[in-house]
Amino acid sequence: MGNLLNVSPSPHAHGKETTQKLMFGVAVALLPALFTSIFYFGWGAVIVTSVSVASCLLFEYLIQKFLFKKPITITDGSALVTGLLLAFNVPSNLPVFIVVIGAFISIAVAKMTFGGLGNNPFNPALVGRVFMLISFPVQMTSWPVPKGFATGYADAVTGATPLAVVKEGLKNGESLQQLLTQIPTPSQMFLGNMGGSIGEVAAVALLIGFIWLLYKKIITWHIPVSVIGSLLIFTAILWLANPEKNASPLFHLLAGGVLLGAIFMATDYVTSPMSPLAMIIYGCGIGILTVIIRVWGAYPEGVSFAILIMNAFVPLMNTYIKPKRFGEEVKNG
Amino acid sequence: MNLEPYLLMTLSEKGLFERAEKERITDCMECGSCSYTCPANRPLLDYIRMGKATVIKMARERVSKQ
Repeated sequence: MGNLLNVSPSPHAHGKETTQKLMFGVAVALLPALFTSIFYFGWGAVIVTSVSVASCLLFEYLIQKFLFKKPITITDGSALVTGLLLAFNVPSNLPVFIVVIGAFISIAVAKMTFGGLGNNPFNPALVGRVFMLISFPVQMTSWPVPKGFATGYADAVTGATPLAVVKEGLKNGESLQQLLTQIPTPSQMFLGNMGGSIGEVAAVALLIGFIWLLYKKIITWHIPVSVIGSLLIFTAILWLANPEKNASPLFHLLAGGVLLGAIFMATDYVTSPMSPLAMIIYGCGIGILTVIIRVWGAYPEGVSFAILIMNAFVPLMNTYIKPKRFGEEVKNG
Repeated sequence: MNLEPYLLMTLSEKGLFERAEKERITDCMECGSCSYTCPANRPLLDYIRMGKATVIKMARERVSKQ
């Protein structure tokens, strides 16, 4: 069928947008976050990011060469973006072999088993991340303390993320006021000076990337704004209801991976819904699920699970939430 | 028109012409904007044209049977 219709009539002109340009646009938007994390975590960030990108490209090449036996498309940049996002979701002292296993799960299991770019129902980088989190919980939750190039790689001093400190503390009956003195201040968190995954720490760098993506029209505002908005509203309700037990909306926004998830992971073209209304519902679902997992769930952080759960609802939303066709509503007919 | 080219293409490709008719494939006026702008270079309009022709043929047969 494909070959039959390739001798094609109009339109003979084609726009300048290509998959490659969009993907490299996303990669450029990730660069500020990469540089800030190299500034905070030193060699660990460099090693984990380069291993992750290289192994994603390698696995995609091998699968396309020896299993699909189709033209190799690793230059389209999608494996590059998956590799970057996978590295951004793990601690900077993660052993190399775990990164390679995560890259294999991302590319081979989450992307290629469904037929490659455009057909995967779940975000590949997040599937890899959740696989690593469940398989290697100890390595995946020991976060190096940011000290620049003094952090080191294998011998880094580790500490908990602000979210984990607050979650554990509240479980042990400590007061929130006391816990907030143990974690970085909001301005430090905004600049990224806290323990956490490679890409999620610096809110300011992620926001620069967000502005770049909007300026280049690579993504629309609907998904990031609805994720962040619903998260802020939900945490504000909890905070106003019981300020002794629940942290402020600002803390929930800056600590953990909400910005990384909302801007770069939830907006993945393949795994997000098509119509603007469905995008807003999808974003609100992610924001609300994130808060539910953070406040009542077993894990201190829930963005990756929330996005994967909402990814599963995308086909349903595409079926039932559609733009109103012209002429569908008959008035005075 | 608020049509969804990605959906109409998939429905035509899989031969689901009755659903394509419900999604108003016949409202497509074949301007070609979808194929022009598609970054992945998918043959959107080609399949939509094929699907549209089939749907129109089916509709004519329905009328002639009556």
